[in-house]
Parts: sequence; C-alpha cells; structure tokens
Amino acid sequence: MKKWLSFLAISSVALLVVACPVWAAETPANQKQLDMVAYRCSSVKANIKRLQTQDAITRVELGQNYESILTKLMVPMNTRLAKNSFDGGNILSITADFSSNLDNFRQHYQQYDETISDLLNIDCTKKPADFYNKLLTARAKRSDVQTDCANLSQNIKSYREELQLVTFQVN
Amino acid sequence: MLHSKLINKSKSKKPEHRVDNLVWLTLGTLLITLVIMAVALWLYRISGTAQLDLSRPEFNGVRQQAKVTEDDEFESSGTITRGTVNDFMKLFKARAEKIDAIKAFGPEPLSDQALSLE
Repeated sequence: MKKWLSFLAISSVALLVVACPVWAAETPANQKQLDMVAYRCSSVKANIKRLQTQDAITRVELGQNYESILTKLMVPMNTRLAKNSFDGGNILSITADFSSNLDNFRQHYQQYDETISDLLNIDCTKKPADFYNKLLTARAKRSDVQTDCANLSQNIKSYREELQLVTFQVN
Repeated sequence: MLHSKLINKSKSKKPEHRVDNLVWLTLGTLLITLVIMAVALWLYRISGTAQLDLSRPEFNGVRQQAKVTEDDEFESSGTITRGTVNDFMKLFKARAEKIDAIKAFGPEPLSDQALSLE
C-alpha cells in the first residue's frame, strides 16, 4: 500500500513538472500578438527564413575576416615583435581576448542558428504561444552574437591603439 | 602447410555456414557504416560546420553573395621598422573596415515591427 501511495505521489509530481511548461507556453503575454502570429504565420516564417539565409552569409563573411585578422595579422605581428625583443605591452592579452571572443562568437551563432531552425519548425497557426516564446529566445541569442561582434570590434580598436604605442619604440 | 590446413578447414565447413558468415559480415559492415555516418553527421552539426556550409540546398540562390576574400598575410619574420609597422597598419585598417561595413546581427530584423506582429 505504501509503495502504491509513494508511486502515486511521485507520478503526480512528475506530471506537474511535465505539464507546467505546457501551461506556461499557453499563457499569452499579449493576446493581440499571438493572434497576429497565427494570422500571419506563413509570412512571418518566410521573413525569418530569409533572415536565416542572410545571416549565414554574414556569418561566413565575418568569420573569414575575424579569422584573417587573427591568424594573418595579429599573430604574425606578435611573433615578429617578440623576435625583435619589442615590448608589446598589452598586445598579447588583447590578442588572447580577441581569440576568446571569436570562440564565443562561433558558439553563440551556432546556438542562435539552432534556435531559428527550431522556431521555423513550430507550427505557428496551432502553437502561436510556443512560436512567440521561441522568437523571444531567438532575439536573446541574436543579441549575444551582436555583443560578441561589438567585443571583437573593441579588441580590434584596442590592438591598433596598443600597436601605436609600440611604434614609439621603433627607430 | 599452414595455408593448406586453413584451406582444408574452410572446405570442411558446410556451405550453409559459409553463407551465414557472409550474411553476418554484410550486416556487420552495414552497421559499422551506419554508426560512422551517424557520428560524422553529429560532428557536422555539433562543430558548427553546418552553419557555415553554403553548399546546402537552402543557400542555392545566395551562395554567390558570400565574398571569398584572399587577404595578404603579414610576415612573422623580419625586422620591425616604422615602414613595416605602417604597412601592417594599412592591412589592419583595411580588414577592420571590411568588418565595420558588415551590418552585424542587430535586433531590428526580428522585431515585432519587422515581422508585422504589431
């Protein structure tokens, strides 16, 4: 009897845990927006699909340029400075930050793209709340990617400024 | 002698056993191939290569838009003079300008306004 009761108790808790996300998804934050999602489902998805394609192009171009800056410019310059016994100041740490931010960029973009793919797989006529929640997640992931791009641009600017200081050591 | 012993041993097996072995060998090979293929596809997804692969069918119309750049490389060996630093700065500035020209991942395209959800 006790075993049955504990089994029932555990099952009830498990059911609540599983059901709650469904309840949360079905609770609209803004009913008007959900109605719009369901009404404009196909055009919204078409726009998002187009955006995903364009983002892929942007990702490839940015990735190439970042990679090129790191491996064809920063690293060779750092090596040359070291070989010529120049004090590079903070150049090495800026390069390390750049490399770390580049890894974050790759990772965050991958997460963003996967979120967009998941978003496109949701039937927004039947599940507008799920679609909108996923859209909010996609916006957050896109913001992460934008932050990484801003950090990388800052690293590039810092590297240039630091290198200007090095030129004072040069005859 | 060993070779002839092995031949005699295989000849002594019944034909049905040889067919069974062949079936198991084929199934085993197929299974290994499927496992390796599944691992390869998983790596393709996990590593982020899938996001960069413009050869996918959905990128048919826009593949040409991706500009393939062949950039100059700065030599890691050599002296450091004002001239070399200036040359480096020119390359660096050009690369930085290419990056700044790319409008990167702003919030507008996913906004309610852009998606006509307002």
